[in-house]
Amino acid sequence: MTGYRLGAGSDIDQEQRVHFRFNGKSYQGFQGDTLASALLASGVQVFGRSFKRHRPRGVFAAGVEEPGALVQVGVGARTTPNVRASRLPIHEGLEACTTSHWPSLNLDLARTFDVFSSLIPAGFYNKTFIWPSWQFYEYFVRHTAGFGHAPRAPDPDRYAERTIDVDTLVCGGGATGLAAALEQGASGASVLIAEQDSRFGGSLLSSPMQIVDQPSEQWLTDLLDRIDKSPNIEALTHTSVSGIYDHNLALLVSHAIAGRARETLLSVRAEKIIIAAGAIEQPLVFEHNDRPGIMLLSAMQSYLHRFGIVAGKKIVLAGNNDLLYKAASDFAHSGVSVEAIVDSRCEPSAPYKHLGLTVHHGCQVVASKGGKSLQGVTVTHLNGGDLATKSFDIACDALGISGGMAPTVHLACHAKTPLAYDQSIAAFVPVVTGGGIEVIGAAAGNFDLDASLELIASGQMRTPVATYSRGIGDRFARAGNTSKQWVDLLYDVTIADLDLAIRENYSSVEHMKRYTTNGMSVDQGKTSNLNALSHLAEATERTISEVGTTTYRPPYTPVTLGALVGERSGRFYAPVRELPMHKQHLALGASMELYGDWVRPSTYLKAGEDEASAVNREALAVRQGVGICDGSALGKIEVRGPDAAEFLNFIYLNQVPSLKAGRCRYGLMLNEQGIIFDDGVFCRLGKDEFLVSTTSAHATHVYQWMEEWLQCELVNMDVTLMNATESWANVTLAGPNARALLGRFESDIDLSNEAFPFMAIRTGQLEGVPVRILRVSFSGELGFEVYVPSAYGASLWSEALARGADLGLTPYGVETMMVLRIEKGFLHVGSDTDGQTVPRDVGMGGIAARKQADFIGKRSLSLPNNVREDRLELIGVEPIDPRGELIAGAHLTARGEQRSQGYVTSACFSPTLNRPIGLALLEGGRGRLDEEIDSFDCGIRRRLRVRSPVFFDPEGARLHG
Amino acid sequence: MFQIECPYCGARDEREFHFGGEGHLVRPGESVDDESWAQYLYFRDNPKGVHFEQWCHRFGCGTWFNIARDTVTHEILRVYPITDSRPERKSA
Repeated sequence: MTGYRLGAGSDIDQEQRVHFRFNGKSYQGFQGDTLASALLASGVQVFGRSFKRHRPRGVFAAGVEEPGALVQVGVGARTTPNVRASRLPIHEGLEACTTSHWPSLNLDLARTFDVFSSLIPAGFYNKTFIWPSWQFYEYFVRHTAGFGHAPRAPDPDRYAERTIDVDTLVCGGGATGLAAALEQGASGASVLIAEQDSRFGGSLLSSPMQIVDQPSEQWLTDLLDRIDKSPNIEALTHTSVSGIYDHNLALLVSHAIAGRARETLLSVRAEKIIIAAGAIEQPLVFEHNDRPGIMLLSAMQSYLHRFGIVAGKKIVLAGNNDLLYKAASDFAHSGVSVEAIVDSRCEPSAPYKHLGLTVHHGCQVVASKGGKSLQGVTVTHLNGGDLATKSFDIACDALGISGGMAPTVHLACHAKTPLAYDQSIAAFVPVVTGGGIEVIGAAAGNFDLDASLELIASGQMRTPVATYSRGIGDRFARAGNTSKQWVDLLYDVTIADLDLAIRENYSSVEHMKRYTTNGMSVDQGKTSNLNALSHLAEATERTISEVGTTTYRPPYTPVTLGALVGERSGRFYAPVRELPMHKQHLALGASMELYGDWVRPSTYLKAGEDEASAVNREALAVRQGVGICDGSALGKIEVRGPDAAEFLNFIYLNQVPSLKAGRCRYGLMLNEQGIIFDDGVFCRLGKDEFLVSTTSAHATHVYQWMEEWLQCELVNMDVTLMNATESWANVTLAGPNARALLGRFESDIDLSNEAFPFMAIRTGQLEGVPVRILRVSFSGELGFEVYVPSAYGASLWSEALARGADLGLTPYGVETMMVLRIEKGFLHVGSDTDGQTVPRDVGMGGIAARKQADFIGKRSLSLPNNVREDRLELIGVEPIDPRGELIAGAHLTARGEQRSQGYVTSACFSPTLNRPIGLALLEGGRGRLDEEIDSFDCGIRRRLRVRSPVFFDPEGARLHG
Repeated sequence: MFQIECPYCGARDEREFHFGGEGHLVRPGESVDDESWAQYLYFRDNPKGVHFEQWCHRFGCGTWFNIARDTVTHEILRVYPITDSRPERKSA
């Protein structure tokens, strides 16, 4: 037991006790405590284990930079891994546990990794798990590695999203951020302040001071009061800026916005982004600097002032800058005495003489002593930079360390602001170049708050001011065992690991990072990157500027997938389109499936049927009587204007101007590479008026494609396009009785074969409703596609079912439609064609050759590759054994050969022919009719025969009947 | 995510737009040789600096237009109608 609660803290309410559990044990804290503060107050020292060596880890920081105390929070579907205890507010009933230990926190058997640590140096994975293969080791490595576990059940919570446009976004609600927000807001500009902490005030909360002759608490209260009274300034706590992107877009994750959402993702577009992200204290590097009880100095101050907690009974402060004395003064003010200060600089710091502290100037802590908890430090005198032999021990149970502050440059780097190394603070500072980004205060390397505030008031935010008036000393103890000197506490990277990487020539900063994993964990190196590259620079005799930094990428702190997904999960994952007759299909017991973005009936299963028998029944009903199918998903694009015919003549492979009004033609669309892109029927409604029918999945795409050509290339054509796909319902009647059924409806359209031939379109009324009827067929039977305005679709469907019962009317779904069209050898673009199929491959080369006018893709058809004799050609295939199997996707080879000559593109069981049939793309296929070939699928060869793709009614008598 | 100034609708997020690749491509006539046709089909500029490209405000007014964009800073230097000729690089 080391840490204890001294008394009041500005964050906590000692009137309200909060009970929670950590690693199965019950604890209590106060309202306002974080998990870290509540456990520290209870004397808990070990919070977790490090990643590789499983060494005990205590609380090291008080903010987002925490590299040690990572916990798993909550149970069941809400469990969250890798939460920093220093950022987790406790609440009644909270359950948390350590993320990486086995079997228990205090007896971690995996700790043996530490004993054999010399066997797992940097690059260990890369060197070791090679033979026989990584997969061989993966299970064991995954079992012991990693932090925490993901929930196994779907996330029960909701996440919201908000888009905000503001004049100014201020990232960070510390003293300078708040002051800048007020200054910006004074002119009436809209301002949003985002603070990741639970309170505004930044470092003032941890280290109160005098500002403009008043206590900072008072100054802060006044400032927040003024912000509160400014209607144009919105201030959010619990809101982290995770990244800054192009054109001043920032993504924020907020836990502060009231409502049902667990987290809210804010997309903020700002004219100006002011980065007031503060600075993060950097640690010292010495032997056993990872022992629980060693903490950043700023964290010690934070726990004292905000939570009333003293980190230990005997406190030693060690560092290389004046922050030591400010902290000691703070402790003295609270009645806590500091055993000693170890300052690596030789010059005494005069202003703090009155504190009567024991100060060891020109000294460094070179090692910590103790077991799982700290018992003391070994201090050595520096002599002109060299280690002298004279060293001594100081007993202590808490050590506060400060290697100076490093500006939080991450957000500035997301915004592509270059960095420069500033020797006076031994850290990188952003060099702002404009573009709507400003960096102020400690984030700009200006640690003098009064000076920063003056700059803000004068509107000159940008000038950085060098700060440590008495300079900054060394962070590294250059003595002792380097394999026990930690740089990255979370991923167990030591000075020895860095040295090994350098010896093995991973001396670029990016290589070193990846080889040693330094800075790659949950904390992303907020307390390790600077020390690692400082060491790299020294070891390779370069300057830190020459070494440079690794690339800072979003997110600044971990973002949950839930926040990014927002509402877009489950049935909101992607929009789904329902047919006008959706309810009718459900009432008929249809199995609905997603085809493209449409939910369509695949089959209408009857009691006792499986899908195959349902398809057979439906298909035979169409061939023998009449079937009804919902074709509303087919694309319907209206093309109008004086140049409509000429426009479509350019879009289609086929001749368009010769088409007479009232007639339809089947056509192919190619892309500019000559590849088949879509197919369908186009109809001429009048001289300047066409209706283009596209495949269901492609309707939107075809419409956009036509718009692109019209707007970008055919700019002088007078044509208007309208995508009317959802305006019309399509009830398709197919089968020998189709005309008889349609004739039972009152209409002004003559349905006789003479008046209304195959490939014609008629417009008129049906039972008083406007109608367009196309006599076309995708089934090979006499077929009518009856289009009525969408709102009438359901009643037409229901009426047809009622009036057609005695004709054997049978609803059929998409799967049956596929069987019917395979029997006829009708092409299905995307199944029977691929990204290389040109018209000649599907037997439409002649049409292309005869067409004089230019069209999309025409020139490509004569490129050498598109006229090769051995191209894949569409043919039919059937197993030689009528009971054999035919698998779509199976490769085709010559008998007994190995080389693939194509593949089966579509396959089905044909109920009409009572055998499996299919379509295929085969090398030189049209010249190989009746040849016996092999199919090859999953190791099985099957014998097939090449056939014409038209298996049924090759003369087309049924179509024209 | 960019913010793009649609000539008709004003400044909107990139997610409302569709990127259409390099602008000002000239579609050769049918009589060109294979090499020239292949150049038109497959070869595109990839400059470090000003890039002239086509965008469509697909989830807005549906208009295609040209922009000049700096590929390093992503600054959009100019938005202009699809039928305008390519600006001089200096004036962009």
